[in-house]
Amino acid sequence: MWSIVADRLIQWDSFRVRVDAGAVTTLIRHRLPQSSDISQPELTFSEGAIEIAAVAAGAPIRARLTIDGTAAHEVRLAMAVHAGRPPLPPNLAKLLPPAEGDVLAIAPMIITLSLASLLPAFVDLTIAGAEIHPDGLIVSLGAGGADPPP
Amino acid sequence: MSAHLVSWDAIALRIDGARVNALARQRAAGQVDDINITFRAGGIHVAGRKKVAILPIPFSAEVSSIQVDGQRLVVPVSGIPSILLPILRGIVAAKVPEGVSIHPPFTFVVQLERFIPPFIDVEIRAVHIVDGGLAIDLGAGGIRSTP
Repeated sequence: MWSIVADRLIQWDSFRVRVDAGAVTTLIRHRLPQSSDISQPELTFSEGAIEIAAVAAGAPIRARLTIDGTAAHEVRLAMAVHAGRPPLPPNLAKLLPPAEGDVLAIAPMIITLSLASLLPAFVDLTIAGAEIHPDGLIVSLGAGGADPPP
Repeated sequence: MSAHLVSWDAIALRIDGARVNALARQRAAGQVDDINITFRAGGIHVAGRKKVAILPIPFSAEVSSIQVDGQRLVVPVSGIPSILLPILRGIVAAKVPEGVSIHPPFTFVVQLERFIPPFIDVEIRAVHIVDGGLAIDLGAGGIRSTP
């Protein structure tokens, strides 16, 4: 019945959690400093990607986040940034002539969301996978466990 | 569930009986001379010895169910000789953490909100006593984003 791998007082099998799309958008809006160069952030979750629209230093900017991969304690997101027009996959974007205002085209960069620094030593929590869906980021967690704090 | 930054539908947890036994023995050291807790499907058996004057007196107890009452867990313990109940209640009451109370004749009540941060919503649907530990069914819940 159980496929427990952790030698812990409390143990769990794999399960999934959802990071809510709307809550993430609200959180980012509230946490963005007033003095930031970035304003009016809008996040749209779709199958496989998060589209980000914002105003950076007075100019509209758009970016696309996709899952680059996962490791035991991290989710890596690939971010492609374009200015002034919707982002396209790199292989298509390079076929198009530069658009008016297309002042920024940064090759995909990797954003790493790491749990390692947040997890105390008495908790075993591993990430088995992650997917982006319209309602949010679905993260699959592997079997794990926890002991009482020392 | 939309108010949650992170949410889940259901989670099955297991409490390892051997670890519970080790923890109980560690915490009871110096208070009782021996204690062993064993988990079998449908019941928890507690057995031990406590010296009164110079006589080691054996004791045993049973837990046949753990009930969920909203945000409280109620654990009735039976099978303790009446003469030992006040002594054991006194020993145990001094050892249990804040949020756990003991009521006559010998029932533990665990206030879950004392152990779960206020920004986490957890619903315990059921606690089953199984071979080797406890199986806990959690319902849908989540973590609210802090302001």
